[in-house]
Amino acid sequence: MTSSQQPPPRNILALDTAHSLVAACLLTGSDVYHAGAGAEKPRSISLASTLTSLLEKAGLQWHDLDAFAFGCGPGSFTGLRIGAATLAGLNSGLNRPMLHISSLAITAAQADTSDAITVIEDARAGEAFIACHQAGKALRPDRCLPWQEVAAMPSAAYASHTEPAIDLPAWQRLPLQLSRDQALARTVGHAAGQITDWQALPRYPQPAYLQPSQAERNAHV
Amino acid sequence: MIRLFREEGSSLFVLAIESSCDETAVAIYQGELINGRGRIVAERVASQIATHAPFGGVVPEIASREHLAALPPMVDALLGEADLAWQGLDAIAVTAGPGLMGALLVGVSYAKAAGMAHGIPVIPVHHMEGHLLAPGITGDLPAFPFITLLVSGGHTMLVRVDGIGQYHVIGQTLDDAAGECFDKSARLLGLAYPGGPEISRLAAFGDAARFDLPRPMLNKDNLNFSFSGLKTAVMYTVRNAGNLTKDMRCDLAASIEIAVVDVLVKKSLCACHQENVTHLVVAGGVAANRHLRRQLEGEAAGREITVHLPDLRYCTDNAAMIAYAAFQYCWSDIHGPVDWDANPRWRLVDINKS
Repeated sequence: MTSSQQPPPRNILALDTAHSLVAACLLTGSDVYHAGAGAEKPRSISLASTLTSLLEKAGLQWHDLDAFAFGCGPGSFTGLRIGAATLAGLNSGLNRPMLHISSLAITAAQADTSDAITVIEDARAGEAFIACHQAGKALRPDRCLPWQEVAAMPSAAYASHTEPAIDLPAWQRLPLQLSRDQALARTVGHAAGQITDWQALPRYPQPAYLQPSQAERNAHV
Repeated sequence: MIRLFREEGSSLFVLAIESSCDETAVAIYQGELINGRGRIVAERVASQIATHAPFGGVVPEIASREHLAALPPMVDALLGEADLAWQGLDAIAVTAGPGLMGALLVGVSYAKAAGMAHGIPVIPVHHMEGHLLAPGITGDLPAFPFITLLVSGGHTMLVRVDGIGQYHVIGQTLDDAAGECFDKSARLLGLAYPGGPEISRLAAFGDAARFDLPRPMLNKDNLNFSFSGLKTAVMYTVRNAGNLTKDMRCDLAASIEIAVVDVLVKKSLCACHQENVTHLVVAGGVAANRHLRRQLEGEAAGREITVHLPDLRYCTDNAAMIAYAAFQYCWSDIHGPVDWDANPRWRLVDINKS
């Protein structure tokens, strides 16, 4: 396999917009730069300046990037699409590998613990996005569950951006120790280390919605 | 800033992206700086009609997802077809509004990022402006001023065009759009979505004189439209008919079509008369209606009004019209807004203020 003999990418630009904040980072092999933007401006506006500031800090041009990493969700549908469309636009003409990172894995990394942790993020429509992680590894695939099923899960330590929609009495909520852009850098660094064949990665970012639209849901009732 | 070299033979290449509703469309236009004319180098449209048909209308979330999946590979394929690299493009035009917010954001986010990565200016284009100027894509725009009847599933308006970027809405619908009236009437008749083409298809076999449907606002002394009353009349006609036979369906479709077309034609000619304008452009999805095209041309001929109909493929949503509008801005040296974002409610009158 010639493709697996390619050197691993040096410069990786990563972006996560699954929540109301923009989290971005740039890994250059020797350095890690990160940047975040708050909710004062719409994501679609703050993104450009956030990403260009990262490149400026690292002294790089767009064509110096060797790969992209996309916080692919699950999360805000619109947020995911703004992130994905932006990365697709940046990658137009560059055609670099697109590493897909679970946005729930980033939340798990924010809790900064080596113990097993469940991530519970509100998915609206009476549902929650659920992930289980330990030491940077997903213990099972991300899921979308009704809150009743979450309540029936064995209690554990969990991390979340919002108050859960139901009472989780025996559960222990861990604080988010790391900023999202710091956690993004850590998650991307970890995931990048696991990739053996970068050329096999997709070129176009694809959100993991894990939830159909309301119209599709109604049609199936 | 766009490079402008007004020498003979120099041209601008504009890549355009349109994702405001249920068609993902991309196009490349090559415009000549010497005369403001040009040609479409390559274009693609991916329609989502089949995806939305089971829901009886466009589902915004599904539309947004489809745009995102379709757009990036479409742009790559388009550049390949045109044998152009990003470095060969002078501007990226993108529909910034009006339309579905989630759908617009896909095109706008992609365009802004691509423009940033390749150092190419991005020009936000008003979707309606694209339709207004559509006759210029393959031919010449009529001399200013002209009147455009813009008639689609989401809009019905009469616009006076005094120049590029100079638009005055002189009449519009007070409720449903004409295309919406077709869609809703089609649903009452048990026809598939989208309703306009279906109504037209049946109408060809029907007797338009069988049902006497209202011509709303025809006797009002203004240029506004109203189609919700017509839709209600169709509802009562269907209800009173009980079981609709195939003949009745065709007759009713013909009656609906002629009622809508009558109003559109009379108001458009009235607008030309009132504004003392001799050129009439018809644009938007309903402009594909053959009955409308025929009747307009017939009635305008006797009044020394010239009707300009865009190619059928440029009546519905497309990116060629967005590229052409952006090129007209470049060529006329008009600069759009610097700080802008997708704007689902961008009004035509605010075109230079967004």
